[in-house]
Amino acid sequence: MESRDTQSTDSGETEQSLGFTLEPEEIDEIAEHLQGCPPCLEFIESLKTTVQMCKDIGTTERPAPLDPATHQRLLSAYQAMRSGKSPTAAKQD
Amino acid sequence: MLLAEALMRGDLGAFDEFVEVFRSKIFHYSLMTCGHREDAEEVSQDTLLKVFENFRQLQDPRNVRAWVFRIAKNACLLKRRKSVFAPKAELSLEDFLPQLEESQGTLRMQIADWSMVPDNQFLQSQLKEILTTAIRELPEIYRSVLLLRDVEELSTEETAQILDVSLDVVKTRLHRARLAIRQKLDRHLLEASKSLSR
Repeated sequence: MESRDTQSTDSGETEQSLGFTLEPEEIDEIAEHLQGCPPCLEFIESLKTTVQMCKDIGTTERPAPLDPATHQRLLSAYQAMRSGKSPTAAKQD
Repeated sequence: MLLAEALMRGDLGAFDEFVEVFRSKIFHYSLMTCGHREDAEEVSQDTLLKVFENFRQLQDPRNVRAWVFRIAKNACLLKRRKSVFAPKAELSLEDFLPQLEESQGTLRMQIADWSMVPDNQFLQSQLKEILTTAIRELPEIYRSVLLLRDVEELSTEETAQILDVSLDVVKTRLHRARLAIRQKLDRHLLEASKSLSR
């Protein structure tokens, strides 16, 4: 693969993007390899970008607004829990 | 955690904020898991109801996210045994490592040029769609780990607790899921660069 300018790779980030906990010697070994291997460095960078994109994914789809009846149902369950009553007893109050 | 503590104290303002924050989170997780909007709406409501009914069972407010997502995961399982999207297959590491191509007597990895991704809004919005589809198409055991670890940013320990698996299983599945997703994005970028050079 043709060498492209690549960012320097922080070993902690590399470990995180791989998803493994590595021994210090393994981290050093990977860091050393990456210094002399642009394709592997690019691969790690692409993995890091993938992880970052997952973190930033957000959502354009939101739940529908909560209807008042459901809000009340949730609030009753919460208040019943707070007062130590069973949800059924709370509904009867 | 602060929100959970405020809820335990009976703060009604915290109740509304908790509903707002967690309903949205659970809806997104359920939508990516079940694939149906109606199911995701129901799962988020059922989950919140269970959360409030059983809030006293939450021993430590610091565990609130893991506890809520565990309830959501079970609600998703009840709603649908498996996603409408996902295949059953296990993911093999070898399938997701870059292909090698021979050029001028040397082997080179086929990797797209990702350097323009962080600064290109158009490309990012295309990739976001591909990313969403790719996550939905992951087999369930990988998708659930990726959603909890990378999208919801829960810890390895919390994810293991929610899914009832070991820490090593979480790490292995997460790694394979990331490789699978990376490969789909990489293929798109390779195609995009080919079309540009035509």
